[in-house]
Amino acid sequence: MFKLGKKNSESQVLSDMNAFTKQKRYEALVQAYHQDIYRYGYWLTGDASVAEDITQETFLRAWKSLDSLKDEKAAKSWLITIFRRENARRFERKQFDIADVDEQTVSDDFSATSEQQIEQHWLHKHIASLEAEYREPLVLQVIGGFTGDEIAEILELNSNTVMTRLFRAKNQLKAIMDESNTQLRVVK
Amino acid sequence: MNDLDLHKKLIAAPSELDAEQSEAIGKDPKKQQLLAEMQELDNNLAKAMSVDVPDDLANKLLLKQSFEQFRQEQKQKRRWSLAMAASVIFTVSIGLSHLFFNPINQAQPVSEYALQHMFHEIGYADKVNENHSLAQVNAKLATFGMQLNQEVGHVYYANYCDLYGLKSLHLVMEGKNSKVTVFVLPKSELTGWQPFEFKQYKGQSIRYDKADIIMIGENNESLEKLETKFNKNIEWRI
Repeated sequence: MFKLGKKNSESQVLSDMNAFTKQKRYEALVQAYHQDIYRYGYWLTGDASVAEDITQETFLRAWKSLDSLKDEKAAKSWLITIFRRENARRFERKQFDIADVDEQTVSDDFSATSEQQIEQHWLHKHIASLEAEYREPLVLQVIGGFTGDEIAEILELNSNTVMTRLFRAKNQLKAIMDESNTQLRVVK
Repeated sequence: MNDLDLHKKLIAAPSELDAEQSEAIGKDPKKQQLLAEMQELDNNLAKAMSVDVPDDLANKLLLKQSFEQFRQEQKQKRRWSLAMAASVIFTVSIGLSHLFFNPINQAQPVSEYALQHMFHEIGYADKVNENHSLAQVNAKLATFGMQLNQEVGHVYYANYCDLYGLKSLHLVMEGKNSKVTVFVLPKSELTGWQPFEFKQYKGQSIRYDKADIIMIGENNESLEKLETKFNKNIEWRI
């Protein structure tokens, strides 16, 4: 009986330790990545409150399946993958058109003062109006800090396709910025 | 890598150039100029994309998770005690088991469900201010055969919701120190109405003859005061 009791208390300690470690891992994950995940979501969905909602779903799901995350270095792309799946579920549930959300809801309540802010505002608007297939790899590169190959893996695309989309996205944005700079100069 | 590929990579991913590519660019002033421009664009993009993140997002993520954990533990406890009860009953007498077996014990306590619902809607229900008038709130309370004689506090949010499949009213009201979430439920067989606490939240219920109310506020909130206000101001319609 005594032995059995001891064994039980040992397994209790182990299970408490596991719970403690899991909790610490989760907290570290939240602290390290919640901002990137939210921002990725903001640009993916075009809506701040939807981004917050899905970020919450994503982290809850991440906690539930934390044991399946073996390599901490892969945590960010793992979270992005969960987010994408949750976002896809949203469309299965609601069945509304992506295009409706994209351009209209990204907030446009900015009041610019300096030339630099005007430029930022312009960029914000034009990033939001990029086609989703160009915008997503761009956000993964700029916010997520992923390489072309990593983005290809997350999006399940060919590396060349990712490079082409990044190339087109940046070319478009650069052309727009160059044009706006010329206009600014003319105004002056 | 040919010139065209290099040009493409320079624009698409200037931070991923390898030594050989960087060297090739170093020899070509035009490419150097383009590289500088693309790096500047990347910097500007990073600034423009760094939108503000809600201040309390990290806390919400931790709170939701700890509640989920708490809920799972409660579920396990219930399963365990149910198994114990079943085994005791089995030992005593199989024939008597139906006397001890109360299916409601299996169900989640109403307090837990209310908390879960509140966490689920945290993010918008606690942020909106629809500024409901007493008449608007009373129109919704009429479903439960009740009305308020005067305002018991500013009502930020009032909407029907589904609690346990019961059409309930979810209110977010002004408390003394913080916002208070109030659920109005029709009478039911639900259990678990005792006061409860979870993290920085606490809750208690008021059980009237014709409806039940659950109030959830932060720890420093005086739910008793709100209860008194409800008691004084509710009028029942037959």
